[in-house]
Amino acid sequence: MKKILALLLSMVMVFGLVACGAAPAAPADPAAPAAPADPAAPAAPAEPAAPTYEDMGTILWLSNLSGGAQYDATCAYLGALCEALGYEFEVCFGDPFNDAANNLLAVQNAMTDDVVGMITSQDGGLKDIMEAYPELWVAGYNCDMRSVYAADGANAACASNDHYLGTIADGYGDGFFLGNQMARLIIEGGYEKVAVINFPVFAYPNLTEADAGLRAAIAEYNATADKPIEIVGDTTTLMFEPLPDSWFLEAGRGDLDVIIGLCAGVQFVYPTMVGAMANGTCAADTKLITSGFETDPDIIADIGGDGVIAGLTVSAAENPAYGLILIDNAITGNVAEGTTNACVDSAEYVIDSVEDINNVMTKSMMGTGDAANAHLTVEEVLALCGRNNPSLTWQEIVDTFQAISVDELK
Amino acid sequence: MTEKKLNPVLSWIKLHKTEIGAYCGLLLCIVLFSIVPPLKGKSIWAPDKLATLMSNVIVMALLSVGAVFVYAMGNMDVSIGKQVGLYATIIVALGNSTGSLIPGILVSLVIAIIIGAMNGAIGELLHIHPVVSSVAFMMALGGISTVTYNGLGSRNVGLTSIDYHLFKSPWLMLAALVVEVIIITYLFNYTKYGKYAKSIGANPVAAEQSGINLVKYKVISYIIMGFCVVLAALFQMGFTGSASDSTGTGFEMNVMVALILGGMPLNGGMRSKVSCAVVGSFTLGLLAVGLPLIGVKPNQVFIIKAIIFLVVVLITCRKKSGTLPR
Amino acid sequence: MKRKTTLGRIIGTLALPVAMYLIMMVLCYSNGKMYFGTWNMWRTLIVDIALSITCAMGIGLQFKCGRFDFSGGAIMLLTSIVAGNVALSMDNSVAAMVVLCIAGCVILSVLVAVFYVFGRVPVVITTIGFAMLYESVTCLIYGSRGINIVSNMTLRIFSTYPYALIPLALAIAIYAFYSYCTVSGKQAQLLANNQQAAVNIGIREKQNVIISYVFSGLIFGCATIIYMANGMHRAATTSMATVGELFSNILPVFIGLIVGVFCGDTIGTIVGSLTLCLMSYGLKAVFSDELGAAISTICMGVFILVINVIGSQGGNIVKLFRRKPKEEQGA
Repeated sequence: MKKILALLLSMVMVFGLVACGAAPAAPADPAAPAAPADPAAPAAPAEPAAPTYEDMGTILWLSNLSGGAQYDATCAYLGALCEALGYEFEVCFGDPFNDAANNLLAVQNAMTDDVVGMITSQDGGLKDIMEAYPELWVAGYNCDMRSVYAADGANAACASNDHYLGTIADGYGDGFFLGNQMARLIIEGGYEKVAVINFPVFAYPNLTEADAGLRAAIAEYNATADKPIEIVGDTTTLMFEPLPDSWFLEAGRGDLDVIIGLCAGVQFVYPTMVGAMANGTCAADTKLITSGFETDPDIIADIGGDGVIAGLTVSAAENPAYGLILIDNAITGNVAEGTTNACVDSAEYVIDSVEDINNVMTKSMMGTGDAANAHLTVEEVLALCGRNNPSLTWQEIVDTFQAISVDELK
Repeated sequence: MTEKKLNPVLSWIKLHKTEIGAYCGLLLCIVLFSIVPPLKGKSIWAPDKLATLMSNVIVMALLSVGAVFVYAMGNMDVSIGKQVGLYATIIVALGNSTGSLIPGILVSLVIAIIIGAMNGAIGELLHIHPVVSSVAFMMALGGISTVTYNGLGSRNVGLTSIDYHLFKSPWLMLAALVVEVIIITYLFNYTKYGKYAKSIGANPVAAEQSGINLVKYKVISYIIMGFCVVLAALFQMGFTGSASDSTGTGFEMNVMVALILGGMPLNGGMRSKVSCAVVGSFTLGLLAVGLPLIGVKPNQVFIIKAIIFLVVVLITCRKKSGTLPR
Repeated sequence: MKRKTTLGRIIGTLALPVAMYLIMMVLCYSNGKMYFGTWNMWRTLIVDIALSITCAMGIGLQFKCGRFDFSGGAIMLLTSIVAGNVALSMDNSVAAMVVLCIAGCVILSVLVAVFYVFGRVPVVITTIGFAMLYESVTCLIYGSRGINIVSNMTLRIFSTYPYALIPLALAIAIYAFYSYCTVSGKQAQLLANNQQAAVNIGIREKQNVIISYVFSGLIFGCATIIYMANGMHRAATTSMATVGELFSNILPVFIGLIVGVFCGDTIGTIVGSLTLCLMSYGLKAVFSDELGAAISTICMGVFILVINVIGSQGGNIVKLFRRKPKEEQGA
């Protein structure tokens, strides 16, 4: 009985998986041969047939996300772009902690013969991945690839690998400028009493740079300001757990003007703030300036205006297209002039008003999950590719991505 | 005449239904992934995929084979994962400072002996639940790892001057696994260490009264497993020549799943076999490598593994009659 | 004698949490954290304690019956995702959230019990398998988003004082009712002590197991009401990610078994949760956030080991001290 059951189950599984599996890609049509020139007439040069880009292979995204608004938007966008460019698109989940061995294993498990390029959001194990797959073109997305660009970085060998094409960071590649940006928001908001919360330096060294940049900018401002800005206490470091409720019980924290969440504040600071406000341990007018994006309606409603979240910085959802363009240019042999494999700063939405967040939620790809709402539509991205626009320089491509702004949604 | 001929076959099958069930799971995976991927133009038997399979299997198999000794006694060790992380970190750190992996391995072996001795002795000598000491070690080692990496200022440490590419060789992995299996099988089946471990798992009171020193042989079993954990940590480190604060996370549960899938009775006893570890590890490895080949999305892999696990255990671990199994 | 016995029981019950409170108070005050012991601290700690107690009781109820339940964390996660998303779609209905939390946990627990009872698969294996299954389902529903009600003060009501006390009180009442007031609870104790003998005297084991899982499901439902409201919960993308819930929430059960000598396992579990929450809170307040969590984890592991050793060897330790004065007298 058990044997029959086991046999039946296995046959059901086999037939079910065969039926549900994706159909194999249709073979590409062979290009029509050029017509031979008439020998009697003066030889007019035959127009070369336009290259057809089908069955280009598969682009793999080594993701640091497994769900959520940003994941859905990225999948939809990259899927549409890859289809337009003639690629298949697959996702593999990287290790949540960026562990090198697990990232390598994830890529190995997802790797097939037709994978030609990888867009990676994690740098753990990159050297070993590129050694294992020397023909693979690699570009980064929302990752500063610090371990690649640091001289003593674990993946420093990738910097000199010609198949490593560069990366677009999640905001500023150099955290110091993120700190300056946060300082600007504090100064423009007129806040006088500030606290800073961060992630550990061993996980996010760029955020420690941001902290230093913020303090330096505030110090410079205070040198000439009538009302100097006070940064209360040392920077609090969260070990990837929500801010403890007791944080607001410490001296000076109950009546802050603003909390700067260099960490993912929406996830790790905001919940505690809301609870503390309800308990009365946090002043009701304390604001939060942080990064990260959630589509929860109640969080959205609390951004801008009288909401708790006074400022939110989010990297553009169009960033993955940068890596895809670099990979496509490399594969098709249309590398843009001046291309380097540097880390490029990305554009950010700086959302600090109700109008901004409403525009993001209704008009942007990030808010709607619809690739048709992208700042860079599929057609515009195709126009940035070397195969369609060989004269475009790398700097022009970078400038296009860095020009994205929430103001464009108005 | 036919009935008489069938009866020995049927009775053999009945007697070994657990092993057959476990092997059926492995065979099912082999058949499935031999038939379906070629229909999509892929092959799990391609050299690179076989190498990937070994990469998936090696650490889990080395841990599981060593864990057979502990699980045969009806115990479990939940600190395995954190031990792997600790040993990998030590091997890398000492490798960078001395230029050789040997000091790190030796230090790890010493620590493994200490932890194994404590895990084995504490429960028996102090009459506390055996899992309590391993939970305590799991928490302590986890905290130590976090403090260490925080002090280093980095989330991972990597070898700077030692070539670790040897450890990526699937042939070396296979050789290491074969050697370990041979040694552990010999110790488990042909020496008193294995026999006493099984006896302790079957009936600790009877074992003690028949003269078996429970503390001594529990300690030895945990130490044998500790040696296997160090070997597994070496290969885990060797993947990328690095260790991180999350190295080893969840390995204890993977070992448990692999052993169960391979037909290992969690209460231990005489039915414990080293082959359970190998079969279960390869089954899980095949699923990890084969499911993406047949087009299963990453977030669908988990449910398929869970269903296969439940189906296999329903076939292999079912107790026919009597009281409910514990 | 009776007063001494009662006094002794009270002292035995409260010694551990009071000692921990005093130690942490000294530690915090010497580091300038003067808010330890204030009403503000208790108001924020109550929620952590409530969650710890309810989870511990859910796991402890099965542990008492001799069953290690690895699926509790996965049950809570899956139920919170489903109940939370449905409640959000029903215009923030708190009633729907509560009902779905409890019903969801009961249904998922009973599924585990049915598989165990009719599949006759060892309970550890069953619960591991169902933990894997439930975790995998969280990746398939609602786009793997999980549940996030951090800013929804309507649905988060049970993560605030005093509303967190409601599911806590309910969980304690259910646990105590099952353990002391039901025939099934008494039979479960018999089954735990001697399974074969209990079955031989006519106890219907299958029925008893399913009933016990219904009750543990109810308790997990209470825990889920607080758990869901207590932060964001994402889908489990690594296998057996929720099993850590078992190992962290079973610690109060271990302490409860020891302290329960004085007060019974119900109050013992409460005392265990209180002690560990005080220790965790104090250590995180004293040390930096980077080190606080790590040191808290190390201390908790060592503490559990020491407590268990003292609990199992306490009699021998007392005898050791008592023997010496008598020997001196004899000399």
